[in-house]
Amino acid sequence: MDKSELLTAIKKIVQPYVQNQEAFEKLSEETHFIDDLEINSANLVDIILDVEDAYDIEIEDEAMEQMLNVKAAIEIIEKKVNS
Amino acid sequence: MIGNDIIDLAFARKSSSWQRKAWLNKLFTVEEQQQIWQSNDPENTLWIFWSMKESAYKIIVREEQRRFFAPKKLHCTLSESQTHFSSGTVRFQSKTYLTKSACKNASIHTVAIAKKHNKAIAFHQEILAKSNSEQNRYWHYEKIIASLCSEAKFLAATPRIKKNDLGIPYVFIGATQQSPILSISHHGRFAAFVYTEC
Repeated sequence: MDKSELLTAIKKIVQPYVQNQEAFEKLSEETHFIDDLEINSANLVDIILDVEDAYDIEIEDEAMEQMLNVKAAIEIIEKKVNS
Repeated sequence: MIGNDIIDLAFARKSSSWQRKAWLNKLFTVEEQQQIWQSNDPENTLWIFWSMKESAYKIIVREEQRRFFAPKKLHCTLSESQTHFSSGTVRFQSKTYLTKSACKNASIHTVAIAKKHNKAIAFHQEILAKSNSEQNRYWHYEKIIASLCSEAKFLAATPRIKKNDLGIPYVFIGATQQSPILSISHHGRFAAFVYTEC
């Protein structure tokens, strides 16, 4: 699974929770879930559960703590899927 | 230090699937989950807890100048729980924050204050409801500025609100940061803000 595939997958997962469509159109690794996409913090959990379901992985609390942007999400998924 | 959080319960119901397996596990400690399920209205209680955590978290981010997503590191305890009002504490590491939550018009608004203030601190709070004509995402900012302008110190010059890289709002006149500590929250149809000189 390469980065662009992961980026596309994450884009699809976060879409229902995005409040800033303009930032969503420009989504990149540097995109921050709260600052840029204006996702509500309670919805971060919905996103984490969606990622867990999509990749059949479990994201522990320690990993979740840093999952505030696309880059961190990609790193966590890559690490989990490859372990 | 002060922080606040507003929850639009109708919007929360629509956008969060709290009944999903593991949803509560990710956000709440075992003790908090027990209190949620033992309460008369578990859904309402979980959102009270969440707004307690969020309001205290806003103080922590300001104090520590860092962000993280670790809701279970903030431990909520309710000391008083009535239909429309709850008070309690949020513990994070060695710090304790006192919270007061008001439930009305299908919203929950919590104000958190750092416990180091031994006496009650004076603060201004407002809850705003978005009207249908307001399409702008930052519809509440104008109203916050208007409220600040009613304070004696801002009669001469209109302040502006600027967020830093961590999303913490600060009040400025020109390039000079002003003293009120301001906390802003918005969710669904509602926005809320608090400010204090302490």
